[in-house]
This record gives sequence, C-alpha cells and structure tokens, in this order.
Amino acid sequence: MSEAAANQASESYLSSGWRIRDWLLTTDHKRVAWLYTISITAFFFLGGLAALVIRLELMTPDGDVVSADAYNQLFTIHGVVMVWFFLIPSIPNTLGNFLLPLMVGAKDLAFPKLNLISWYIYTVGGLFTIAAVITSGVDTGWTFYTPYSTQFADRAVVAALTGVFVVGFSSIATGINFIVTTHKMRAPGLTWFRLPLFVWANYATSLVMVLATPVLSATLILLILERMMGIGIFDPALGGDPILFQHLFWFYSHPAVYIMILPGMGVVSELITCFSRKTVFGYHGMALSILAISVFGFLVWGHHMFVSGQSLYAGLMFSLFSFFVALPSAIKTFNWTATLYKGKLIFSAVMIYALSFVGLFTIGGFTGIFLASLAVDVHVHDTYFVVAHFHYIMVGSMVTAYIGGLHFWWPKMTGRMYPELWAKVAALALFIGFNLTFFPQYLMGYAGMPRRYQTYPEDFQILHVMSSLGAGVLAIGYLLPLVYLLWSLRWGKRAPPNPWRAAGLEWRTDSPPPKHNFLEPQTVTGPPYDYDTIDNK
Amino acid sequence: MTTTPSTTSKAVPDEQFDDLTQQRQAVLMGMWIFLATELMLFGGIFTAFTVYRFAYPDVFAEAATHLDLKLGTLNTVLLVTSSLFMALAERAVNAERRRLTLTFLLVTISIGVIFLGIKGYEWHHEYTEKLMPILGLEFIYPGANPDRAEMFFNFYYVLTGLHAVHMSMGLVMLTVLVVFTMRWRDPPRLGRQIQINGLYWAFVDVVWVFIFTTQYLLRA
Amino acid sequence: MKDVRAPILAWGAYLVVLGASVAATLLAPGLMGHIFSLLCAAILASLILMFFMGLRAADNLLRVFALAGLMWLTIMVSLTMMDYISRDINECPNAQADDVAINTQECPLDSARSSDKS
Ligand code: HEM
Ligand SMILES: [Cu+2]
Repeated sequence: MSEAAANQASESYLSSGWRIRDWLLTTDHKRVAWLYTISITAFFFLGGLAALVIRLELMTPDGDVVSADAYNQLFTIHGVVMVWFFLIPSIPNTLGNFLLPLMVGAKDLAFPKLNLISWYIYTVGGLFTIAAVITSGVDTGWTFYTPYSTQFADRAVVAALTGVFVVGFSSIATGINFIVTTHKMRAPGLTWFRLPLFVWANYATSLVMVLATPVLSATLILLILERMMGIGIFDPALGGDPILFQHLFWFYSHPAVYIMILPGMGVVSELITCFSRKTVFGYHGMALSILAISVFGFLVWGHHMFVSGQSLYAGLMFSLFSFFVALPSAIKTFNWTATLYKGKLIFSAVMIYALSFVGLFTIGGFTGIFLASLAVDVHVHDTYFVVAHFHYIMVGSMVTAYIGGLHFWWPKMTGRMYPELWAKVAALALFIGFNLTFFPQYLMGYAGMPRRYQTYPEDFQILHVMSSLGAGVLAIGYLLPLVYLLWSLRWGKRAPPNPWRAAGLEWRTDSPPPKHNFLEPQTVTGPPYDYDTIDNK
Repeated sequence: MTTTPSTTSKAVPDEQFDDLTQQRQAVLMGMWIFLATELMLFGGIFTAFTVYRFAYPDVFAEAATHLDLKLGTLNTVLLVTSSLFMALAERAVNAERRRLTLTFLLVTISIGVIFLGIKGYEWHHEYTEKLMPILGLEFIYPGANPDRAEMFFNFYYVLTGLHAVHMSMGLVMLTVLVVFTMRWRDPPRLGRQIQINGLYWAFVDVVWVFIFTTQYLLRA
Repeated sequence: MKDVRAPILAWGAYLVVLGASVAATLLAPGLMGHIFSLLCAAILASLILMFFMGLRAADNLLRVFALAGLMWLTIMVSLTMMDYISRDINECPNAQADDVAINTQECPLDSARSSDKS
C-alpha cells in the first residue's frame, strides 16, 4: 500500500466527507447509525412534548388545558411516536448499527445499502404519520383496536396505519441485516459463546423483528382494506370477530415489547461487567435466556386480552405461559446482581444508569407478573397500574439503558469525552424523576384510576400532581444529556481508544474508528469479558 | 446447485465481504430470512381465515363452489410450470448458456403474465355475477347466509389480490434479469441474481398452493 | 447442464398430486376430502421447496430458518385457535352469565350494525 493510501485508510470515519451527500448517501454503518440517532432523538422529544401536555392536563381533576378530543389525540401521538418511531428502532438502529460490525470484527454490515434504505423508509414513514396525525388527528390510541378504528373513528386512521406499516419494513430490513451479519461476518475465533451479550441481544431482537413484524403488516393491511375498500374481516355484521384483531395485533406487539427491552438488557450487561471489573456471572445462562425470552415471548400475547371476551380457557393458558417468560428475565436479573457481588464497583455516571436499569426493570417485571395473573388483571386492567408497569420497563429500563449505552460508547462514536459530573447529575435526575412520575401511578391504578381519561375524581389529585412534578424532573434528566453531549462534540476532551479499559473488539480500534473499522483483520483467542487479564496487565 | 467458480477479473466481492463464498452465503441467507417474513405476512391472513373457516364451515364450503375450479386448477398448473422454467433458467446460466437462459426467462415471464390474465378474467367474471363485495359494490349471493358468505369472498379477494401484487413484483424483477441476461456482463454474478429471484418466484408459487387449496378446494 | 432431471421429475410429481387433490374434492367433498386436499397441499409445497428452491442441497442453517418460519406459523394458528375452539363467536360475550333464553337473541352490536347497513 502506498503511504497516501495507508493514511487514508487510517483516517477516522468522521474526518472527511462532509458534503450533504456524503451523509445522505453513505453506506457506512457508523454514519447510518448517526442518521438514525438524529431522527430518533427528534421523535423522542416530539413524543415527550405530547407527554408533558398530558401531564399538565392531569394536574387538575377537570379538563382545563385541552379539549377532551385533543386529549385523546395527544395520548395517541405519544403512544404511536414513542412505540413505533422511538423504542422499536432505538437501540438496535443506533448503538446496534454502530457497534454490531465492530463487535464481530467486520468491515460493515452484510447489506450496507439495505441499511441506508431502511433509514429512509423509517424516516419517511415516520414523518408521513406525524403529518397525518397533526393535520387531521387520530384518536384510537397506539393499539388501533377494532371496531373503533374500523367503524367509528372518523379521522386520519388510514394515514397513520400506512405510516406504521411502512416503518415496519425498516424493522424487517434491520433484522435481516443483523442476523446475517452475526452468522456470516464474525472474525476468526469469535465463536458464538465468545460473542458479547450485546450481540446476542441484538441477534435475538432481530429474530423477533423478522418473525413478528410481518404479522403486524398483515393486520394493518386488513385494517386499511376494511376502512378503504369495505373488505370487512373484523366486521361483526358479517360474522366477523373484532377480538381477532387483538389476537393478531398482540401476536406482534407482545414480542415487540421484547424488541424494546432485549437490546437494553444487552447494553446493561456490557456496562455492569465493565464497571464491576468482573466477567459476567453465568455468561452461558445469560446468552441462552436472551434466546429463551425471544422464543417464549411469542406464546403469551393473550395476557393483554384477559377481559376482552377471549375464552376463559385461553386466558388461563396465556396466564400460565406468561409466568414462564418471566423466568429467563429473572435469571438475568439475578446474574446482574451476582456480577456486582464482590466486584470492584466504579460508580461512574454510566454505572448509575446501569444500576437504575436493574432496579426499575425488577419493579416493572414484578408488576408484570401481577398483571399476568388472570384474576388480578381483571381488577387492574386498563388502569394506571398497567401504565406504570410498562413505563417502568420501557422508559425506566429501556430508555435508561439507551442513554447509559450512549454515554458508554460516546467516546468511541465521537472521539470525545463527556463531562462526568454533569452526567452523574443527569443520571440521578432521571432516576429520581422517573420514580416520582411513575410510582404514584401504581398506587392510583390499584385504587381504580382508569387509563386514557382526561378527568378524574378529586381523590386522585395528590398522586396526579406528584406524577406531573416528577415528569418535570424527568424532563431535566433527558434534556441535560442533550446539552452536554452536544457541547462535548466541540469542547470535550479527546478520547483514547479505550477510556474505560473495557473488553471487546470495538475498543481495540481508534476512537472514532477508521472507515473500515479496523486497520488489520482481527482474531479472537479468548473468552469475552476477561477483566482479570485486562486489570492485571 | 453450486455456482461454477468464476475466473474472470470481475470476481471480486463487495467491499464488506472477505471473499465471494462469504458473500454468496450471506445473500442466500438474507433471502431465506426474507421469505420467512413473507410466510408470516401471508400467515397472518391465513390465521384469520382459519378462525372463520372453523366458525362457519358450511357457509364457507358452500361459498367456495362459486369460484371457478377449472380456471383455478389451470392457473396452478401454469404457475408450477413457470417455476420449473425458472429453475431451468438457473441451471442454464450456471452452464453459461446465454440464449437458453434468455429463452427460459422469457417463458417464465410469459406464463406469469398469462396467470395474471386468467386471474383478472376470473375476477371480472365474479364481478358480473355480483360476487364482489368491494368498495360498496352490490353483493347478491344466491345461497343461504349471504353475510357469512361475504366474509369468505373478502378473504378470497385479500389473498388473491396480495398474491397478485407479489406476482407483479416478481415479474418486474424477472424483466430486469432479462435485460441483464441480454447484456451478459458477468455471468457468475447473474447466476447469483437468478438464483435469488428464483427463490422468490418459487415461494410465490408455494403461497399459491395454499391459496388454491383453501379457497377453491375446501368446497362442499 | 447439470441436474435438469430432478426438477422435471418434481414437476411431473406435482401434477399427479395436484390431480389427486382436485379429484378428491370433486369425488369426495366433505371433511375427508378436505383433509386429503390439505395434505396434498403440504406435499406440493414441499416439492417446490425441495426441488425448485434447492432446500434439498442447502446447508442446515437454511433449513433451520425455513423450519422456524413454519414453526412460528404453527404457534400463531394454534394459540389463536386455542381461543376459538373454546368460544362461539356467534354468541354474545356475556350470554352465559345471563338468562338461558338470551342465546336465541342476537348480539346488540350485531343487530345494530346490520340494521344500519341496510
Ligand atoms: C416479565 C415479563 C412481563 C410480563 C409477565 C408482563 C405482563 C403484562 C400483562 C399481563 C399486561 C396486560 C395488562 C393489562 O392490559 O391489563 C402487560 C401490559 C403491557 N406490558 Fe408487560 N409484561 C412483561 C414485560 C414487559 C416488557 C419487557 C415490556 C416492554 C418493554 C412490557 C410492556 C407492556 C406494555 C406496553 C403493556 C400495555 C399495552 C397496552 O395495553 O397499551 N411488558 N404486561
Ligand atoms: Cu405482553
């Protein structure tokens, strides 16, 4: 290689190519990860804005901030944006996109063009839906239940469905890309049981994306056809069963909650081992329970339908299966704590995020078990108890893991360090604000406060006000990182290749990595997370 | 079914791959996973069909007799024949036989077009019989339980319609392959492309087998 | 050209099985005929998968993926049917809880929909 060519190869992926087209037409997985990060952040703050208005409205028992109709549209926007345009793509498409090829020692994903296309599909689908929702409004909730969505809602339901349908293709594309990359592009010596748990988690997530998303597409097609062409598959007048929609919807959407949480589990496994300076406790069990979750996750969807009119017999079976899926989740929680045990813990900001995850996931998971018990669910279904349950997992755990991971790999992605003190403040604000927002919701839900209502009896006001104030603190927890991370891009200290002395192939290359990730081909000779060796060097 | 290793200078893999074997395996695997997603897409609709077929067995069996079994069978034969020619095209390109590849591809396409033509004729026929409950068209069903029968026809149009959409996309891709075959730039690469598209085309045939069986054959 | 016999033979076999399936429908309509036709469909599909899609010669991993798709489909159909075999969708959801006579009555939603349709 000539010297000029060698210099060019060792240049970082950020150092040249700053025309618009170098970004919008890039096939470099690291740049596509940034495209996704930008879109996702925008959607996150949009969804957050809707949530803030909702919380503002709920400060008082009467409807005084927005009309009842606007309230319905607000929680629909919030749900649709957060679930489909933020959580589903969040970790896989940002951190996963950036790290998966690095972690397996590959030059790129198996299908780089497909990766870029998936971003366009995602962004166009997302913007389309937002435009539809904002110009004419949708009030079905993120679940689009029939017969309301087919026969009664008179707004831009079709447009919203189309957007969600389109975004599904970007999930499928990502899933295919990740699965093939994990199977076919691993560096020599990187056997399955030497893979970082983050790779396992993204692999399992991709399996779920690939097997579940098409069913959502089919269901949305049926809804769209029913609304537009009068082909009534769920129409009771033709002997159709509206509950069938729920079966198909939850066949996708329960596994989809694992699309949302599994990558978070992967991230946290990386963070905890690194900052306890210890290998993951029970690595094999961790990897296999990730797979088990993604498989068992397909057997439990009926627990969302206990009071829908589904047969009691099916309800019982789904209840039983739901208990099984909690098992591997519990194994993971035990193993994280066992990893901490006797570790040399370092309470950095990243570690605070990781520990928040474990605590909040435990609470969210436990209340999931309550909900999965058929008889208890009859009492708390469609109350704030359910709202608190899934926010503990999706926001408390998943978003925390995402932000924690973003901090952990920020030096790798940007070549800059962030201000540690501010990060600690933000992490604590997040933990405190989150609990203040959502713990009261368990209490009011258990006491009977239904979800999706704009007005409520005065008895609930104290809890609602606490929740709204907490949301304010939480918002600070999210806005702070936005500010100091952007600040660090310019003024942060330059990052060395491995600032945390972490294990994993991604730390062997420069920060930020060169265009083709590694200057020489990598080989792997030992087990993952070998922190004893690293620390004794 | 291995592709003959090529010795031409063009045989370099895309930049993210180490070698051509890795690339070929990756693409093949990607395609099979994609087909699994297609299976689940149609699977969702078949699941819904199963529910109603089970709930209204007699009405659905009766309604199925209103479809044209002769044309349906003919179409099934046509489609499998086109799959055969697609498989032959794959073997021809691997043997580096340009004219033969081209012929087989064109036969595949023609049969596909005839299939769609017949399907369109069937739809038109059902339209004139007033058995098309779409877009508010009149639905006049001669048997008992016209509402449940309408549900049967709903499924029939959803399934055959979605299948026709897949056929059309397949035809577009095959047409592109014809152009590539005429140019004949990089036969091993063309061989891989034909293999991948062949998988898709055959899969669309698999779906049709189940559409044909559940809609036409489960009759009274 | 290598291996053209296998696909042509598979095509022949396909036509025979298809013929049997259609004949069964015509000669023995009803449950047995339907089960036979569905079995034939499985055979037809496997013929295509094996001979036209090269699953016969493919490596094990691809077979696993193909099987996984099939298994997930089975999960979806069977767990959905778990609900429907234990419930009559023509009945009002709470019919059993009320009077016995209610079974002869139409569901309120059903009648409301069909009346405003006409
Ligand atoms: C430990 C395993 C889990 C169990 C046993 C469980 C159980 C349940 C049950 C039974 C419900 C239905 C409650 C009702 O509507 O009455 C529910 C709702 C929900 N869960 Fe979980 N869950 C678990 C984990 C998760 C995870 C990991 C997530 C997300 C990442 C999640 C997200 C949700 C959501 C979004 C809903 C509400 C959906 C809606 O109606 O809008 N759950 N969960
Ligand atoms: Cu669930």
